[in-house]
Amino acid sequence: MDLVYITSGLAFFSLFPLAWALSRLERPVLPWTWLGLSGVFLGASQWLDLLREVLQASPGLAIVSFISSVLASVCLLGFGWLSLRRLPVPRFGVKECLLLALTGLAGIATGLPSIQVAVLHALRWPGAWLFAVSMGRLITHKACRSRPLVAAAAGLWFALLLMGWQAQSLREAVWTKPVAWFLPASEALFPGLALAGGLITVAGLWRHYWSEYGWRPQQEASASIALCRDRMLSALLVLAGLLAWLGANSAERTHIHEEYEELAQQAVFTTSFLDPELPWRLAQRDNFVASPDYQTLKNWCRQVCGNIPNIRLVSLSARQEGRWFYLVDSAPLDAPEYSPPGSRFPEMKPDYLPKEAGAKVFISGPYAGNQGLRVTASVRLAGTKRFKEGGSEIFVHLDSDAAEITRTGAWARLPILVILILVDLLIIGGFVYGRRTRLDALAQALELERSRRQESAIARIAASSTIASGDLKASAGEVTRLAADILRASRAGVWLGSLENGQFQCLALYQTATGTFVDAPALNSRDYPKYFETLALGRTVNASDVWSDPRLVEFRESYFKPQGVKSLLDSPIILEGKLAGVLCVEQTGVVRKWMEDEFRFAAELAEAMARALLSARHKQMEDALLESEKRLTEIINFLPDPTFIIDRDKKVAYWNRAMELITGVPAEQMIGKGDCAYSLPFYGHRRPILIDLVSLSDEEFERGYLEVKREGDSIYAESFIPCLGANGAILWGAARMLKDSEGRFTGAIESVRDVSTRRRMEYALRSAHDELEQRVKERTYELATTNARLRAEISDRLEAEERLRDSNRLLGGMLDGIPDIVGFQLPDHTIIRYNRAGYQALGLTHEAAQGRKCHELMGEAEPCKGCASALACVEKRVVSIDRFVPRFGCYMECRSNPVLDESGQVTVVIEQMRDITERKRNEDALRQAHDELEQRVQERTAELGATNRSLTALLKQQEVNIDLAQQVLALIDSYPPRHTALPGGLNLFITSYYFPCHAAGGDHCFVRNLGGPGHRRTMLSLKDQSGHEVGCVLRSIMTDLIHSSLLQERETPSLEQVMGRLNDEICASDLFAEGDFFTSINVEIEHAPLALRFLSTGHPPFLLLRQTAVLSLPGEHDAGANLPAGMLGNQTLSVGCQPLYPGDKLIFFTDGLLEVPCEQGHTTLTSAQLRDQVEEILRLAPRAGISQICRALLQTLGHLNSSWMQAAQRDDIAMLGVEIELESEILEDVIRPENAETLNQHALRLYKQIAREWKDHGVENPDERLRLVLEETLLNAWRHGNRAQPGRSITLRRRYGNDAQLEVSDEGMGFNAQTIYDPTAFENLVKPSGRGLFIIRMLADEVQWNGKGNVITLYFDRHPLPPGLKKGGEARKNRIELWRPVGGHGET
Amino acid sequence: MIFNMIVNGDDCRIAISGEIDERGAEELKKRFREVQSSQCRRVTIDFKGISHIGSAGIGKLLVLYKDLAVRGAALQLVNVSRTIYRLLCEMKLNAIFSISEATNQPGGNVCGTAGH
Repeated sequence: MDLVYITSGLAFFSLFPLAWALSRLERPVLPWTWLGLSGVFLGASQWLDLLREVLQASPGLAIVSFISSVLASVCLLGFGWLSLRRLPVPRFGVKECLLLALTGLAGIATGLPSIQVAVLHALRWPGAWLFAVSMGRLITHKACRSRPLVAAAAGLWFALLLMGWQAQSLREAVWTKPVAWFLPASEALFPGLALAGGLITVAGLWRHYWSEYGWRPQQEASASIALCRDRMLSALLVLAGLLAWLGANSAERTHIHEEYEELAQQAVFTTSFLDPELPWRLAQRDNFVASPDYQTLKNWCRQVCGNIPNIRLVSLSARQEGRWFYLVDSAPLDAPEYSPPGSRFPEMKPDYLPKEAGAKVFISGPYAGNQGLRVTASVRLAGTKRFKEGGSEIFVHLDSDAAEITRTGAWARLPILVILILVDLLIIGGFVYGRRTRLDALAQALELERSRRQESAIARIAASSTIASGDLKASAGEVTRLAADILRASRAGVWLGSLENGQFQCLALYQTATGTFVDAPALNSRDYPKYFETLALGRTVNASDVWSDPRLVEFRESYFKPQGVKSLLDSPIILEGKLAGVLCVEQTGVVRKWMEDEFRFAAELAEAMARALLSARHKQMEDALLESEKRLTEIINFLPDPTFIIDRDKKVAYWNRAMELITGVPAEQMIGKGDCAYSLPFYGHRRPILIDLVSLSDEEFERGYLEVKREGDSIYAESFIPCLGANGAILWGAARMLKDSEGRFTGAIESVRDVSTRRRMEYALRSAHDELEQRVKERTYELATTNARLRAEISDRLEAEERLRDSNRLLGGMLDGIPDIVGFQLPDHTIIRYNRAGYQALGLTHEAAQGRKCHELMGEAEPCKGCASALACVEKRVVSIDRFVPRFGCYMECRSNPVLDESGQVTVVIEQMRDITERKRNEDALRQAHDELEQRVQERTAELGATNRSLTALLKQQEVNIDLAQQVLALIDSYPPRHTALPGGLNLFITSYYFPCHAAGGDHCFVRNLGGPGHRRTMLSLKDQSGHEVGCVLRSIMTDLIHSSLLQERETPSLEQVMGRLNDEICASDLFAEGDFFTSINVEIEHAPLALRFLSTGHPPFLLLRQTAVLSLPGEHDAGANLPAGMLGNQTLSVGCQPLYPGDKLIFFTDGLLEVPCEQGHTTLTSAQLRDQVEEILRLAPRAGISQICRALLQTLGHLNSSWMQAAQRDDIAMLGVEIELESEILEDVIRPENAETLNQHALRLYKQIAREWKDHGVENPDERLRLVLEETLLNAWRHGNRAQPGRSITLRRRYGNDAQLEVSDEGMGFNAQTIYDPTAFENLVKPSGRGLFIIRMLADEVQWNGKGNVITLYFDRHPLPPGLKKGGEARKNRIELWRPVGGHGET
Repeated sequence: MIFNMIVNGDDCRIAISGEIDERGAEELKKRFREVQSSQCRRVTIDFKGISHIGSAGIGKLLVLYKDLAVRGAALQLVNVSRTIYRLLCEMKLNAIFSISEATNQPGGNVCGTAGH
């Protein structure tokens, strides 16, 4: 078996594990796998060739072997190609392609004419060249750039390596080509130089490594170091390979020499018996072939060839004068290797064999000859004389077949190859193992160093005041500088922004190379979505190769390419869960793999930046808070109200300027003080105040304040502060609890305001307001009534216009019916119209006459002399002139009636013309009769005068005492009971108003409670006597006396019966003269069931007020309406009925009320108008009581406005108001006075309380009526009722209806009010006591006692009439009751 | 109640201020003893400061009047408010001593007999 193939194959196969080991290196730069694959294919090719020889040249195996070689070459090409592409600088470019092509062509050239060889060379030469170039770049890049010697050596080395690799091909090619000098160079010089160059390159690389990295054992295992080591390793491998190749070649050559040395010794031995002159002599001949010397030599050569084994050819050659001659050889003449003697060998150089070689054997080959691989041993024959004299040299050449020698020589190569493989394995393995171990240890050491530096940096950044200060710019600068320094990066930058607005601004970008900060463009998250999406998730973007990271594809052209960024480590800055920025660490120039601790460090720096952001925000917030606090202090100081604030420890935190002013305590003295120190300026001692109440509820404490009101966490109150001002002050305070965002108490704030002046003003204002309200109420009522009146006037006006139209029509008809001439003309005699008689008399139509002058129509050019119309216009009165009118030819009475307007100017003159011819005649006759009559009258007058004088004297003797008559009438009528109890808790309230126009008028009324239990009723009668002369009061007395007498009958007749009998009596009475009568309205109010029976005798209808409706009863022809009494006897009187309901009101009045407006110059009211007035009053005050309504009515009518109006009173005014009162709320107080002192205090307190109630209910004049009455009533109850015994109670009840009712009851036995003497009697005037009841009766409108006499009930009119206006009614003080009371009780 | 008495020979002027209720009447009674002891011939009580007087106070006035009348002295009330004036007139006390209404009130009046 051909061991060359085996060993070669093994050597090539060994490339694969070597390459695999190299590819497993950390960060392999070269694609070692491709080299390994080329080795596999080469090895396969060798073994296939071996197999082909074994199988005797199978064509298929030859083809496969060839294909394998081609694949190996392709892999080698690929290795070289990819290596050059991956090497950092420079890239595989145009130059490299051209050189690649050239080497391919050179390979082809060296392989021709064999196509197979040419193809192999075409692939092998470029591949080899690429391999060599790539290795050269790997080894020499940067490392040798600054070392020219190393660079030159490396270049030479690889050049020789290339050529040496192809030495065999070149040698074979050179052997057949005229480049003969290359062969010796390829044998010795080139390998030597390559070896030298390799050693120098390795030494230079080692020195570079050591100088750059070796002396710094803590240096990081960076790509630079890895590359450097790769270079070293590659150089060592190549060198080892070179050495192995050289060693193998040397071993092979040594083996061959040793093999041929024996042959050479045999050759020397054989040449010893050769005549040395013989070859020379042969060489001198021109045709030495025919020479017997030639044959002798030929036989000798044959003999030597036969005697030496393995010698295929023995030949002799001569060199003379530098030219070689072939002499003879052992080959037959017809053998292909035969060369004719004397032929020259031009390709053999003169210095092919050295001159002074002696007997040394020169071995040449193996070389490819015509008959295969051959080896030639050349021996110089011993020197001849001729040679010594400078003649020719004779050499003996022994050619042998080199196949065997090379095969045996391959064995010599095998150990070298095995050693090479082992060395490679050791180098690689040791390198890999050592590198791993070293790298691990270095990595650990570096990691420790990095950790230490990082921890130191983190500690420094954590303690950095810049970070804590919140200065973002400075913090970013510090962080970036630290990142670049610790991470040994080219650049580090900080961008801050937010995803919301998408903008990230560069705060700082530090460049390590220059040690400065540079500007960088802002980043928009929308332009780099993948990148920011990763950052937003809080993930670090670590990219060893930014060009291969899909997350950074957006940055490639815009950022990485211009900036030269190769590797990137970006850590997001997260603040409050959101992306707030990014810390970017960039590496330019070379690709870099980031370590785990570098991730963490970058994250820590990003965290520090986040803290700086937070500090910046905190600083902003602190600044804002300080600003806010400052503003708050200014605001509080600016507040006009004194304000102070306490903190959660109840110490004063704020004390504003207003508080200083009001308390006189400066803020510096108060701030920080606790323990209720803030109460000292107000109260003089420490005590809780309003601000303390916000956090505690103390009813006892709150009672010390006025009007305490709480609203949530706030409290408002007023209080009297004794220590403020000269006399103290009333302060209104507001306090509120202060809480934080979690609702916890943090303090409280109180503001106060001096409201002393305001309170005083409020009181005055309230009083003025009440007064104003009253005036407004009155004015509103006036306006309402005025409006009602105006509406009534408008309604009346419309009616009047309608009536005017009707009147006009009527007037027109009437005018036309008048036989006299009636004309209407203007004051300038312009005719407006005539009646029919006028147009007929004038013979004109209306249109012909209208607009013309009156005198024109009469045929005069000018107005008549003494024209009645002219005179009437001047005198503004009716003028009647009798004259002869030529136009009509008769006497006419011209009567002109001027019509005046409101200003008194004449607007129209109505002229009436009547034919008075006949009258004239009659007047004459009458005048005559009159004269006669006058005479008679004069005579009669004298007679009457005498009679009158005698009557006057008689009257004087019998003058009537009016006051006495009044008293008699009052005695008969007594005072109407104001309050009568009705079943069901109702109350019959009656109020009366009486204004006589003279000392005693003709209006009179009485009210009686009649009937027994079960049939109780109240009788009311209001009468108006005709006339106002002296006797009418007597008629009033008479009438009521008879009426009362009728009511007192045992079997009380019905209303109509009573009135009927009264009427009959009146008619029959002599006291009533012819023509005397009276009108009356008489009603009976049944108590149960409530019902009203009424009977009117010619009286104005009364008003029934029910809610807001007002009825006039009775109607003109309704039941209850009758003729006036006293006119006609034996009348059957009709009675009207009406049910009554609680709340119903009745108003009875005489016609004098209707004439009240006449006092002011207006016309008399009609009943309907009065009803409308009342309706209006009700509309304005639907809830008013009857007394209020009556008073309002009087005010509306104007009777109450001033007393001078009453001077113009034309008729008596009497009005009764009745109301079925509902029971109202009772207010009650009970007192138990111990003595007079406490009684006094109770009385004062109750007075104030009840005065307030009076005010609330609109009861007037409490000061003048209530105080004294209350005092006297309570005094009586205590002293006389309870006998001044302590513990006994006195009860006060109040009720407010039409009157203010006050009921006082004691626990005594009661008394009889009738037994109390009159203090105004002369004999009692000077008695010191006994006036209490008098005062009570004087001031109260009505006083009642219960049957026992221990309960007194007082009634006060809400609106007492002003003094001076009230007339009449004085008899109410009379205690004599003429008539038996029924239904009421007590005194009135 | 404030009671000021100025004696000037036979004239004695008493100015009373306040309210004469039950308690005030007792006080008045005590102070009137001083008037008795002063032996004045003409006693004038100024009612300007009196806003209220009850029956007890009026009774004390009458006691004073009787005491004065016994020794021939006269009593008059001046500057009486309208309300008290009407009250006293209704009681016909103006028939036994002079009562004059306060002049600053509209319609001021003097009524009653002089002296007794």
